[in-house]
Amino acid sequence: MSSNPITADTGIVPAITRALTLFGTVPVIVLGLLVGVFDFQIRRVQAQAHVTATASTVVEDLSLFLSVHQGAIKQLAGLMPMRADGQIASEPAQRVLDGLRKSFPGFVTAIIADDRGNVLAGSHDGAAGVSESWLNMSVADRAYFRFAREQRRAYLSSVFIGRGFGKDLLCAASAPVLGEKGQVLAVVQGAISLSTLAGAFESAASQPDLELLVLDSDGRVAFRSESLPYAVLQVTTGEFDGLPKKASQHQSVALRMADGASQSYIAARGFTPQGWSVIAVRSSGSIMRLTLVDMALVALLAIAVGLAASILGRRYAAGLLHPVVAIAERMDEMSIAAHPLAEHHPWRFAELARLEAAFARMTQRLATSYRKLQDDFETESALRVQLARAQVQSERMDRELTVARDIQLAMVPSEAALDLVSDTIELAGRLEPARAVGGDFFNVVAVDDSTLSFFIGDVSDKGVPAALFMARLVTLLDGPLRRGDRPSDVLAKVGRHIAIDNPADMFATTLVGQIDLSSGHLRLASAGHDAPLLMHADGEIAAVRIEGGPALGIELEAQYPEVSVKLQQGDVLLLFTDGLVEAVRHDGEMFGMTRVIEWMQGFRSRSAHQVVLALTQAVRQFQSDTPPNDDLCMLCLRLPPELSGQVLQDGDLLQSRGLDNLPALLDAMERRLRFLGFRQNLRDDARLVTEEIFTNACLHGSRGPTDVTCEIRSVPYEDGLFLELMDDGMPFDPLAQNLPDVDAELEDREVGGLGVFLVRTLSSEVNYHREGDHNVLQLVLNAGRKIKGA
Amino acid sequence: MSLKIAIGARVADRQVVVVEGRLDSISYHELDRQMTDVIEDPALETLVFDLAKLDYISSAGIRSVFRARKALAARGGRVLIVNPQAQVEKVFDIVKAVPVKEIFRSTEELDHYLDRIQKRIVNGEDD
Repeated sequence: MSSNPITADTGIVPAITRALTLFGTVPVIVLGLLVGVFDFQIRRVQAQAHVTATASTVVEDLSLFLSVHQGAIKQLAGLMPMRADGQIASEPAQRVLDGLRKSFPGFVTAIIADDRGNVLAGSHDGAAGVSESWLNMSVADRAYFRFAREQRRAYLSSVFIGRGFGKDLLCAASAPVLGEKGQVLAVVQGAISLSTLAGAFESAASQPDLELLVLDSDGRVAFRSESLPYAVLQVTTGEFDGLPKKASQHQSVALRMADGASQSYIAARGFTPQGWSVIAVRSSGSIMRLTLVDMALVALLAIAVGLAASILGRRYAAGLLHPVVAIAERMDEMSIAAHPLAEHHPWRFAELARLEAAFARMTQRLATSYRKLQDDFETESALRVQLARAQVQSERMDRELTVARDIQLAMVPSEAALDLVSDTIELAGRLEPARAVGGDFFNVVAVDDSTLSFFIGDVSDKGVPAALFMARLVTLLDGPLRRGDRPSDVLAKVGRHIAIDNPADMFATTLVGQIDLSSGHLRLASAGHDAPLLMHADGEIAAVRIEGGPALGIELEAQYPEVSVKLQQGDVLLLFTDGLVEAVRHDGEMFGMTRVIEWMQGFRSRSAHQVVLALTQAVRQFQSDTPPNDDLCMLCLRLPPELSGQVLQDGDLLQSRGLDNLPALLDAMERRLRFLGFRQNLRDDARLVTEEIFTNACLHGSRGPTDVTCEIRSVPYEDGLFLELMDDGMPFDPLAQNLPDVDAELEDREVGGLGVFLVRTLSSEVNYHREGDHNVLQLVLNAGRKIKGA
Repeated sequence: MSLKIAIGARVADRQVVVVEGRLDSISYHELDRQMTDVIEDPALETLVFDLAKLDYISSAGIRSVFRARKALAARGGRVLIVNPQAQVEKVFDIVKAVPVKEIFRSTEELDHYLDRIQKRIVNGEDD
C-alpha cells in the first residue's frame, strides 16, 4: 500500500494545521497591532496628561515655595524690631533672623543690613564662609540689596551658587524695612536653598520617564532631571519658547541630546508669579518602547497561540481525516492494492490523492470484474441457448429413436408371436439393444405345418447404422426363408445381394436354420456366426460345430456348408450373438461361455421361455449397474421333453401318473394330435373325453397311496381318431352308469355323471373292458360327426 | 393355457365375470374360490359369465356354473352366459347346463334381454 505513488504536494493534516495556526495567530497579531496602537495612544495621552499634571503641580509647588519664602522675608521686614531711635538693634534682629530660619528651614542664611549695606545681624548654620565677620560686612553691591533699597520692594533673585555653600543652588529673597516716613531703614535678605526643592522635584519627576526642567526668571536652569542634556545654571536657548504658557497644555519639542541626536519629547510648561518656569517632558521614544514591549508580549502570545493551534490543529485534522484514510485503506483491501492504477490526477492533498487513487483502483477493479461477469454471462447465455437447442434436438432424436426402437423390435417376433408359430416346438427369443437401436436380429417363420426356418445375426456396428443394415438384412432373409430355401442357399443369396451394394462396408454374422418338426431333423448354416449350443434332456451340452462361411456383406460369392443335427425330445438349441458371452461387467470380466452353460444346465428341464428369461436375468445381474456394452440377442428352440418323468412317450403311447400330471399328459396328447394334423374341435373333444375319464379314475379309482397310472394311445382312424384310454385304478365301466337327466329342471339336476354323459355323447363308438388290473376304454371321435341331440 | 378370472365392476344388481383360458378339473377350484363372495351377495340378481375368451370347458367347469346357478336361483336370481366359443357352446348344448334362452351370442343380445326384463318388472308382468 505504501508503494502507491502519491504525488500530492502535501497532506490535508499539515494544511489544516497551517490554516488553524494562521487563523489562530493572525487575529492575535492584528489584535496585538491594534492593542499596540491603542496602547501607544493611551500611553501618549497618559504621558501628555502626566506631563501637564506634573508641570502644573510642580509650578504650584514651586510657586508656593517661592511665595512662602518671599512672603516670610516680607513679613519679617515688617516685623523687624526697632529701637526708640528708629534704628534697628542688632541683637533683637539676630533673634528674629534665627527665629525665621527655625520656622523656614529653606533659608540657609538670613541677614539684615542697614541702608548702607552694612550687615547688622545674620543667622546661619556656621557653614563655610559665614562667620562673625559678617557684621559690618557690606552687601551694598549685592543685587538683592540694591533692588530692595532702591525699589523699596521685595525682590527675588535668580539662581546662583552661593559662596561658602558648596554647590547648592540658591536664590535670595530680600525686602526693605521701611521707616515711618517710608524711608528704607534696612534690608532683610534670606538665601533660599533650592536643594530642598530638588527633593520635591525629584519626587514629582519620579514617574518613569518623566523629566523636569526648572528655569528661573532669567531662564537659567535651576533644576533638571539627570537624563536631560542641560547643566545647572545653563541658560536655555529658546527650545521651549514655542511652548504654551499654560501648564495644562502640551506640545512636542525636539531636544538636542548630548550626542548630538535630536529626540522628540512631549512637553508642558508652567510659570510661577515670580517668573520662574517649570517644564515637564516625556520622551516620545519611551512611550514607543513601552508599546513595543507590550507588542512583544503580544507577539509572544501570538507565538504561543500559534504553537497551540498547530499542535491541536494537527491532532484535530488527523482525527478529522482518519475516516478518509480508513476508507481508502478499505477500498484498497477490496480492490486488492496491487491492482494497477491506470491514471491519476495530481491532487494537492495527499489524503484525497490517496482516496482518489484507491477509488480509481476500486472502480477499475469493479469494471474489470463487471466486464468479466458480463463476458461470463454472455458465454453462459450462449451456452444455455446451445444447450436448449441441443436439448430440443436431443429430445427429438430421443423420440425418433424411441420410435425406431419400437419399429426395430417389431422386426423381431414377440413372445406372443413366437407362441403362435408352432405348437410342436417351444420357441423363445429376446432382443435387447444396448442403445436405443441395435444391430442384432432374429426371426422364426413357419414354412409349412411341419417345417420351421429361423435365423439370428449380428451386424458389425451398433446404433442407427447397424439398425438400418439389420432392417435390410431381415427383409432380405425373410423371402427365401419363407419359400423354404435351404440355409446354405439363403445365406449365399442374401450374402450376394448385400455385398453387391454395401456402401458402408458393413457386414453381419448370420446363422440360418431349418427344422423338420415331424422328424426333428435340423439343418444349420453359418455366415461367421457363433456356434449355437445344443443341450440334451440329460443336461449334456455342446456347441454345434459348423464350418461356416464369411460374414454377409464381405464376399459376393461364398459357400456356406450345412450341418445336420437330429433333435431329440427335450433337446434345447440356443442361438445367440456375442453380446451374451461377451457381456462385460464393471471390472472388465466377461459373462463367458461357462456361465452360459451353467445357467442352461440349471434350467435343463424348463421351457425355452424360462431358459431365455433366466439367461437374460443372469446377464443383467452380472452387469448390474454397468450399462450394457453390446446388444443382447437370443433365440431358443426346445422340443418338449415327452420322455421326461411326467409324461412318457413311446411311439403313439403317452403315459403319466396321478391327477397332478394329468394336464401335462393332456398337453402332450394335444401336441401329438396337432402334430398328427387334427383340427382344433377334434383336439378339444379328445382332450375333454380324456380329462373326464382320467379325472374320474384318479379321483375315485386309486386303491392305495399309489397314484393311478393313465395311458393314452392315439391313432388316426378313418376320418377321425381312435383313442385308447387305460388306467390301473379300481374297475369302473362308464357305460354301466345311469345317465343324468339333462332335461330336468335346474333345481332337480344332479351334478354328478356329467363327465360320463359328455364322453358318451361326444364319442361315435365307445367300448369298455377290463384287461388285467387295467380299465380300458376305447373311443372313436369323428371330426365331422354331428352331436347327438344338438 | 391357465385360467384367468376378472370380476368386473358391480352395476346395481348385476355382476359380470370374465373367464378366460381353460376351465377344467384343474382350474375350476380357482373359479369356485373367487365366485364364493360374489354369489353369496344377497343383493346380486343377475350374474353374467362373459366367456368370449374361454377356450375350453369340461364337466368340472360345468359344475362350477351349476353351483352359481343354484345359489342365485334359490333367491330368484339368474346366471346368464354371453359369447360362448365353439367348444364351450357345444358342451353347454350337450349337458344343457343353461337354458338356451339364457345364452347370448353377443353383448348386444344380452343387453336387449336385460332391458326386456327391466320393462317387464316395471309393467308388473309376471315372468
